[in-house]
Amino acid sequence: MRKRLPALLPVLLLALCTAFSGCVINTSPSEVTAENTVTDGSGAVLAIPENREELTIASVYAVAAPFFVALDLSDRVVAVNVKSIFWTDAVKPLAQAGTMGRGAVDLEALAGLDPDVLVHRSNDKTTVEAVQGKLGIPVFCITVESVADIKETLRTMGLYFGAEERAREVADWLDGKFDLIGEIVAQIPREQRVTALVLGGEPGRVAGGDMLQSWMIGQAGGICLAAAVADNRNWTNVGVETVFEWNPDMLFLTSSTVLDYTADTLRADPTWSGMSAVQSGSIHQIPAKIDSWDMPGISCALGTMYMLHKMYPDFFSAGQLEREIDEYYTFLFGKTFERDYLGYNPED
Amino acid sequence: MIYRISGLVYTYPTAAGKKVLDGVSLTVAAGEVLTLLGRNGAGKSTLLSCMLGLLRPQAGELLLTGRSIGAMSAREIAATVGYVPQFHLPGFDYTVLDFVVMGCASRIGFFSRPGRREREDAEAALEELHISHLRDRPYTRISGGERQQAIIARTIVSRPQALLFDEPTAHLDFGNQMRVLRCIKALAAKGYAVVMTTHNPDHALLLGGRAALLDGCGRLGSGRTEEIVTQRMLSDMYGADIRLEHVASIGRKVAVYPSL
Amino acid sequence: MRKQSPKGGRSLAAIYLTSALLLLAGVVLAVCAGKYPLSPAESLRILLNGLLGRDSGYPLMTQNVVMGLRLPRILGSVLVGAALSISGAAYQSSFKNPLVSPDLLGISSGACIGAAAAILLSLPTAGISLFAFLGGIAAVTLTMSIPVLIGNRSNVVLVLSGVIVGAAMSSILGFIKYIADPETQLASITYWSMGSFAYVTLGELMILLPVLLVPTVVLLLLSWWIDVLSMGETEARALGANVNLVRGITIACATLLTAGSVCIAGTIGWVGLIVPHFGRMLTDPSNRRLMPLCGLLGGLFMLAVDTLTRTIGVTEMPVSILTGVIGAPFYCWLLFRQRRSLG
Repeated sequence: MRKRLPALLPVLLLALCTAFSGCVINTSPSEVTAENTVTDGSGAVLAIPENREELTIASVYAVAAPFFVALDLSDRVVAVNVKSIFWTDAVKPLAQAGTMGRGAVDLEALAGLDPDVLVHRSNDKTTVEAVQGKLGIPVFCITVESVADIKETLRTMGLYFGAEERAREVADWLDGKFDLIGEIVAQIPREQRVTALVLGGEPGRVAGGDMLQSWMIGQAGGICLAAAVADNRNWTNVGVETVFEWNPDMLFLTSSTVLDYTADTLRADPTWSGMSAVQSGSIHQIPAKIDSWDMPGISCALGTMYMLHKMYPDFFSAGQLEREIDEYYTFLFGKTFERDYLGYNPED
Repeated sequence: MIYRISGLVYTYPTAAGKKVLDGVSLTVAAGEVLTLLGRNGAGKSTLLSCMLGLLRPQAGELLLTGRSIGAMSAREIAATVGYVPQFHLPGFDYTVLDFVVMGCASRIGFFSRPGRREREDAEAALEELHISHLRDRPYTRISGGERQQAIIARTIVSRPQALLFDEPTAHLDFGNQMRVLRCIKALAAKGYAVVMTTHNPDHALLLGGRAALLDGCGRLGSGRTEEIVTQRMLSDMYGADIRLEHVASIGRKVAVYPSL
Repeated sequence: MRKQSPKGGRSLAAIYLTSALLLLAGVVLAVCAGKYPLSPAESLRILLNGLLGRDSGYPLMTQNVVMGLRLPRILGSVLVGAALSISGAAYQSSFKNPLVSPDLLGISSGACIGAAAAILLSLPTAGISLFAFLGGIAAVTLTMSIPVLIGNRSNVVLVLSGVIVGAAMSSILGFIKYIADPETQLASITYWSMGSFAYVTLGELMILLPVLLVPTVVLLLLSWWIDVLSMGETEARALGANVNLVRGITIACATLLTAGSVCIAGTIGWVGLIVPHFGRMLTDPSNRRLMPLCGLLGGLFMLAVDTLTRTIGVTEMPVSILTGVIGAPFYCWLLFRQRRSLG
């Protein structure tokens, strides 16, 4: 063993160099000029391909699908994971694209599809390195934890896939909606401000202060009581007793993850009967059953307007919300949808 | 007669047709010591298991105090026969007293537990074996010889009529072997029918009484120890040169190897 | 360090009394502890009035915190701790093996699978308990038959067999999760397999109380025979025990206790292993004295662990993290002590 070591050393060194260079290809900006590169959501600098308007796209990340739709990229998608059948029903090309699993990337299936790029979440380094290193397929990572992130994702995806025009249009639309929300919130007197909380998978688990859902409460003029707790953008298990202690005026239940309870179970639970939100009938699951309005993405504008209406119906009426719902769907899909189909009950 | 066995045949279900016991006949009377000799695997433990009702012989008759053992319940058998196993691997550190009380199991009801009477009986058994001082010690923390005494105390606490010892001296040092044999002899003198298996023919000679010999083909011969344990028999059975020498200074015959 | 004498009548009573008082004190402390700002005096006043069915005059919210959140949780953890510890003592004695417990034998995961299957079939609470019991029985049967099949009944082989069955059960659970409806079933199956007292309700406890009480009474009645069983099969039989009957009832009762616990709080490891050993250190292995003590100590231990998880830090810690942190080193220590008899 000892004798062979010197002979092995150069081989080892070579292997190390190769491995190392493999790592830096993606992040080294020196090889490409700034004009034809773009920095994705993970901070990696990607070279924009020549044929950017023809790139085929694969993804297993459900959050990405609404962006494909918003940027009119659906025709180029070869594999997609959608949150619900709403997306494949409403957008025929996504239905034809088929799926390649939910969440985890099957490298062999991906190699078989041989797309030009994989769109993925940015906190999964292992997959990104494997796809780039083993298959040579570039990975475009997206981060969508705030509206700034969402707009940046629109801008960079627009650049990479040759849809800058549409990206700007969508971002402007988003800005317009949040400007509108801001103008309405500005009219609400300080003393009328409502405290609120978004609950997650179990009743003691809340959206931390660093999550989009908590940010939405603030945008809609509410006071998010979970502002001080944060667990790295994960749903935080503070326990029911803490939720009781906070006792918010309004409780929202997320529709972005699976819940093992409903607004009705909380309303009927005698233990919850002392909560202000229960007594005033202010527990609402964020719509809609089939298309979540608090998913990180463009729909958060609609989710924020929903919160605004529930917290301050005098300042933002049901009729106004109805118009905004129609406008949102028309803007993205060219048509609006039946409320029953969406699983949205305005009375609820 | 405590035990009256005739024509007993036993074959293990897994051993294709090989009879471990083949027409074994034997009687054991009250107050008598029977030493059971035989090579490893000759069927000594199997015979004891049949005598305890743990194994069902395929043929033959096994009467315990005049009743067929097959017709007796485990409780009835346990009330009649006490058993000292070859290996006792302690699991939990029960006190010696708790351990000995378990010997009363045959008279305790199913959802019931031992009471004052059983405890007194157990203390009497400890007294009888001169180990009362160990009463409250964990039985895992006493010496091998003391534990053997405790196990014997457990078997006599329910006042059975017969006691079966499976190689009681196998794991003991020289001094403790002697103490256990003395104890066995004393128990027989009190009227128990004692059956003991051993690998040491000298123990048979020491105990006197009767001896039985399993020949390795499932057959058993029994008789007075002097008639059964002979120099020829020992050499044949163990396949080694073994002598029976009369040692004048102790006044008895001793089984020894002449040399290696 | 070793006890010189078994705790005779008086000192045994002292141990029971101390444990019972500690448990009571623990319950009182736990009623007063929590994130919701309530003074101990307020908490206790609400509790006493609530128990007497009187209105304490406190706001509905604070009454709900004490009576609706803390009380069910406290009762649940005490019951589950006691049940798991008694069942652990029963398994250890009937297998003559101090290294086993409901979770290490794979019984907890078996019960969890039964429960998950019942959720999959949309059965009511009673059906879930029944399925949990059947799953536990299936698991314990499997665990017991592997040593018989390979013809080695040593302590280590039984533990390994439990590991095998446990691993198989978690694969099956994985499969059930895979085919479960993510919209309606998955979350509650996941909740079951995690172990938590956060959402225990009094109503649930009332339904499951008989499932815990009946086997406990049977085990206590049978406790001396379980001692005899711990002498090993051959000896117990020679002593006159109806081994199959005693062992059958013991394992059925212990499994029922495990299944009932799983129904209340999901799978919680280590408790059933640690507490019986701790109890043996305080008294002696005789199940007549050990099992009642296990009930008290197990309840106290589980209560302490759950109260810690809900009071330390901003977020609630899963119970199994704390029991594991305490249990794993304890198991190492046990293996060290048992090293002679392992071969």
